[in-house]
Amino acid sequence: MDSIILQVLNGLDKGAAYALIALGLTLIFGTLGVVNFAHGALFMIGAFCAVFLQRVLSYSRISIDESQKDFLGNPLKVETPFVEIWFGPDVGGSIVDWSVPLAILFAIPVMIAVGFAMERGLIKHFYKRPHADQILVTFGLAIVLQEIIKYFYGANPIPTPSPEAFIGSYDFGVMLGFDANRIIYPYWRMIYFAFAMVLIFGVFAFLQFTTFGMVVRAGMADRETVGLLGIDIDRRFTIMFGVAAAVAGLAGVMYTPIVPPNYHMGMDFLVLSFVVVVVGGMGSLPGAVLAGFLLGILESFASTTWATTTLPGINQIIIYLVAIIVLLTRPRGLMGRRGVMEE
Amino acid sequence: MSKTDLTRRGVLRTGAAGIGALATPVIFTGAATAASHTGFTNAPTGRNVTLGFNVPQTGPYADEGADELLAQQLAVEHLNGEGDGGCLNTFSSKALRGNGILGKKVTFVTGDTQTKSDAARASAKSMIEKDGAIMINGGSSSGVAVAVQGLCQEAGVIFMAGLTHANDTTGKDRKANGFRHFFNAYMSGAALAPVLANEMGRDRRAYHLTADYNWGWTQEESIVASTEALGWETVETVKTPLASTDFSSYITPVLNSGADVLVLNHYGGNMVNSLTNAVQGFDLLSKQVNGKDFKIVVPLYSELMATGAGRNIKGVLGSMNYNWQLPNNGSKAFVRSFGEKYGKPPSNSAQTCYAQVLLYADAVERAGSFNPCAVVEALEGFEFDGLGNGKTLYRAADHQCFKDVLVVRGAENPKSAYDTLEIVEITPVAQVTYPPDHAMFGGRSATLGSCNPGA
Amino acid sequence: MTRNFDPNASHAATAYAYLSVSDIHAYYGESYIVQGISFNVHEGEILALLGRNGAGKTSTLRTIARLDDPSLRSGEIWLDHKPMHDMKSHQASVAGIGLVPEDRRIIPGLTVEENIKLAQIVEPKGWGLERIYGLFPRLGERRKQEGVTLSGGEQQMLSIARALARDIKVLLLDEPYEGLAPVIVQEIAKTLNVIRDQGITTIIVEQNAVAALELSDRAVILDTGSVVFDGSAKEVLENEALRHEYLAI
Repeated sequence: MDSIILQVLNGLDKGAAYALIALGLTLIFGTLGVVNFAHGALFMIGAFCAVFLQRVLSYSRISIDESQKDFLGNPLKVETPFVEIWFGPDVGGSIVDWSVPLAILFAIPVMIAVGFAMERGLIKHFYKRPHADQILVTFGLAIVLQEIIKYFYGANPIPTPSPEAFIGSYDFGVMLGFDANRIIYPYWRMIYFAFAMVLIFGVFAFLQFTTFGMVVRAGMADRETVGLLGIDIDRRFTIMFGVAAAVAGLAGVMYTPIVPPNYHMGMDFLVLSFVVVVVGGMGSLPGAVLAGFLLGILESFASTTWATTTLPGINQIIIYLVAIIVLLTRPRGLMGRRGVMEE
Repeated sequence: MSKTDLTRRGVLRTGAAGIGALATPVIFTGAATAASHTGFTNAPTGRNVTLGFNVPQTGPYADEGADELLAQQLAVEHLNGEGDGGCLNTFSSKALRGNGILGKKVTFVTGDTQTKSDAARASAKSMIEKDGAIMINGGSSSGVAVAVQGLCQEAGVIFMAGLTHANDTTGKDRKANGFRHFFNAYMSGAALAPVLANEMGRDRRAYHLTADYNWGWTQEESIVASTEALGWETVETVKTPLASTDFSSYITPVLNSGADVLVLNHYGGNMVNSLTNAVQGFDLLSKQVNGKDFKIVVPLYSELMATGAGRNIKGVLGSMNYNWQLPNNGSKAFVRSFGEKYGKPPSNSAQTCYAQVLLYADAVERAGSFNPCAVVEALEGFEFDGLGNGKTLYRAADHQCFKDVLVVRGAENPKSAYDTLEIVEITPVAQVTYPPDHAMFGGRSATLGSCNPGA
Repeated sequence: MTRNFDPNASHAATAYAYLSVSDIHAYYGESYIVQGISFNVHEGEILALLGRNGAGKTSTLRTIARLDDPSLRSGEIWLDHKPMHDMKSHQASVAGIGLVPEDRRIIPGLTVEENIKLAQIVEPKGWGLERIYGLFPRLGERRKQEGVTLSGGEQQMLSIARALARDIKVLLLDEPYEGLAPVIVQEIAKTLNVIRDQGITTIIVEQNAVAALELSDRAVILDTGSVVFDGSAKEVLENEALRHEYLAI
C-alpha cells in the first residue's frame, strides 16, 4: 500500500509538468489549429529564465584577496554578489537563494514576448498549411532554440537549487500512520504540484469566467461562427499563444530544482507531451490535464523494480503502449469530442 | 473542435526526432590507406604529421570534449616547441625536444563523436582516410572508445584512448593498436573500497543504481566485488536507462530497502540528475538508517559534472584518474601551462588526452618510426613519470597504464569554483593492480591480437 | 435554358442598390460553385433566393457574408456604398452583414444568454437583451441553459436573435425552416414578419419555396450556380411553368 501511494506521489510532479505542457499544446492546437513542436523548447526557455536570473542575481564584484591563493598561486579573486553588497549578506543571500521563485515574475513577460515573437514571426504563416509542414517548421525552430541555449550556456546541466527552506522531504507516511521513512516526498515537488494546480485552475478559470475566455472558448468550438459575429478571433488566439507559452515557461522555471536544466530538456518532454495530448483527446483541455497526470503516474509505476524485472524496459515504452492502445480503441482520446480524429 | 481538417493521418505523421545513423561496415580499400614504400597507413611523407582528435563536440558531453580539445591543442604546441613546453620539461623520457615528432611538424584535425559509436567511427574514418591522420585520440565514453579502437585496429593506425573507464576497453575488447592511459572501473573499486571501509565501516549495506550500458555494468561489478570483499552487503542493484533525467522513482525505494549507502554508477548527466534528486530532493544525506548516517558514493567523478551537481557533492566520495591539486612536478607544470593559457585548471579528461599525445609522440621518437608496430613495441612495458600521475607503467599484456589512483570527496567549503573536490587518498598502484587475464577483463580468452600497420 | 429577366428588376438599370452583388465567382477549393451571379437588393426589401438542391444558394449567402469557404475569386459586393469583396467575415459583420447560418451553429459550452452576449462583444450593437427576450420569450425562459440543449425551433430563434443582437444592415437567412415541424415553422414565420415590419433588408434562402415567397417582395432563382430568374415574388408564385422548371414544385 505504501509503495503504491509512493509511486502515485512520484508521478504527480512529472505528471504536472506533462499536464502543463500538454495544456499549452492543446490550447494552441485548439485555437490556432497548429501542431506546435516547439512547445518543449518553451519549457526549456522558461527553465533558462531561472538560470539567467540566478546568474544576474549572483553577478559579483571581483576583489583580490591577497591572503588567499588561487590554483596558479596568484592572489585569489573573491566574488561577492552585488546584491549582497547592496543589501547585506543576509538579505542579499536570500535574494540569490530565492532566484527560482523570483524567476516566476521574470519569466512571465519574457515568455509572453517569446511566444508572441514565435507566433507572429513564424507560426502564423503556417496556419493553413498541412499539419506535417507545421510539425517540420516548429521542430526546426525547436532545434534552433536548443542550439542557441547550448551556445550560451554550454551542454552541461546547470544546478539551479530551490530555496534552502525547501530542501529535503516530508514524511507523509508518518502522517498516514505508516512507519517512518516509508512514504517520503520532497518539499519542492509538493510545491511544484501545488503550483501546477494553481496554473491549471488559473487557465480554466480564465477561460470559464472572463469574457475574453468565453470568446476564446467559442472560437475553439466554432471559429467560423464567431467571425460572423464580428469578432476578430485571430488576434485573441495570438494572445492565447502567449498564454500557452507562459504556462509552458513557468512549468519550466519551477522544474529547475528537480532536474538541473540543460539544453536538451525541451526535447525530452516534448514527445511525451504530445502523446499525452493524443491520449487525452486532441482539442480537449481537461483531457490533456487528466492524461498528463495519469501518464506521469503510470510512468512512475512502470519504473518500479517490480515492473522492470517483470517486463524489462517497460518504463521506457509504457506511455507509448498506452497511446497505441488508446488510438486503436478510442481514437478521439479519453475526452476528445466524438468525430475528432476518427477518420 | 472547430471545423478544421483534422485527420489522424495528418497529425500523426510526426517527424522523426533524430534517426540514428545505421552502422555501416567499414571497408578500407588499399588505395585509400595510401600505403607507400614505407608500408603502413598514412605514413607521413611531407614535413608535417597529422594527428586526429576525435572528441564529443555536440551532445551531452560537449563540455568535456571541449576541454579535451584544449589539452590536445596544448600538447601539439608543446611538441612543436611553442609555449612553455609544459610536461616536456618534467617528462622522465627526454626523447622529445620540441621539434615536432621525428623532425616533422605536428598538425591536427578534429572530429565530432557526438558520444555515439556510429558517429565516432564515421568521424575517425574520415580523419584517417581524408586527412591522413596517423593516430586517433580523445573521447568521453567507453562505448565510443571500444568502437573507435576497433576501427583503428582495422585501419592500421594507433588509438590513444581518451576518457574511457569501463573494464572492457583493455579487457575483453582490448586491441593491439589501442592504448589506455585512463584508469578503469576495477581500479576504482580497488582504490575506493578500503577508503569506504575506513570512513563508513565494514558493516554497510549498499544499494546500487547503475547506468544500463557496458560501462555501468562493469563499474557495478567492480564496486560490488571490492566492497563485498571487505564485508559490505549488496542489498540491490537496479539498472537505470541511460536516457533518464528524473531518478526519483528509483531513489524512493532506497530508504525502504534497509540500505545505508547509495552507490551511483552514473556518469555525466545521469550523475548530475541522480545526485541532485538524491541530495536535494530526498535529502538522503541527512537521514539515518540502521543507526548510521546515510552515505552516497559516486565511484567515477568528473569535475565538469561536479559543477553541474553544485553543492550536492559535498561529502560524497569517488575516484578520479587525476586532479589538478596533485602536488607532483608533472602536474604542477601541466596545470601552470593549461591554467595560464586557458584561465582554468585542467579536468581529468584533459590531462589524460594531453598525456596520451605526449606518450605517443615520445614512443615514435624512441622507435625512430611512425609505423604502428614500432610504436606498439616502444610503448609496451614503458615506465615513465612526470606527466602528472607519478610513476606509471604501460603494461605490455593489455596496453593499460598502471599508476596511483585518487580517491576524492566533494569539499564542504570550496573556496572557489575549482576546488570543489578534495583529495582524500592517493591509492598506491600495487593495490589496484590485477592480472591481465582477470575474469572482469575477459579472462584467459582476452587477447590483444597482433598490431596492424595497415597497408 | 432561358433567362427570364423582369425589365423592372433593379440590376438591369444599375441604379443605386443597397446591396449589390455583381458577377461573383466563388470556389470551394477547385470546385466552381458560384458561377457569375449578379443581383441587387433594395433597402427594406425581402429577397427570396431559390433553387434546387446544389444550385448554390447557401454558397452565395456564405460568399456575401465573406466566409473563407467558398472563396471569392472575382466579382464585387457592395453594401451601402462600402466595398465588401475584400473583407473578411468579421469585417463584413461590422459593416452590417448578419448571416444566420444553415444548421444554426449555436456555440456549445455557452448558455443561451452567452451566445447572445457573444454577438455584442464587437460594435455596432443592435437589439438589447430585453428587446430580444421580448420577441423571443422562450429564449428568455431558457437564458441560463446551455444553448445546444434547446430544441430545433428554439435554436433557430436563438440564431436569429444572435443576428439581431448586432446592428445589421442586411439579414441573410439560410434555411430558417429546415428540419422544423410545421407548427414551429409558423412561429418562426411570425418572427420573420415582425422583422420584415421593422424594415430590415433580408435575403432568405429556403427549400420551402412557397413559405419564402409568401414573405418576400422579390425572388432570384439559381440553377447550377447561375441566376435564371430575377423578378417579383408574386410572379413566381403565379407562374406554374417557372416554378415547375426551376423549383420542381
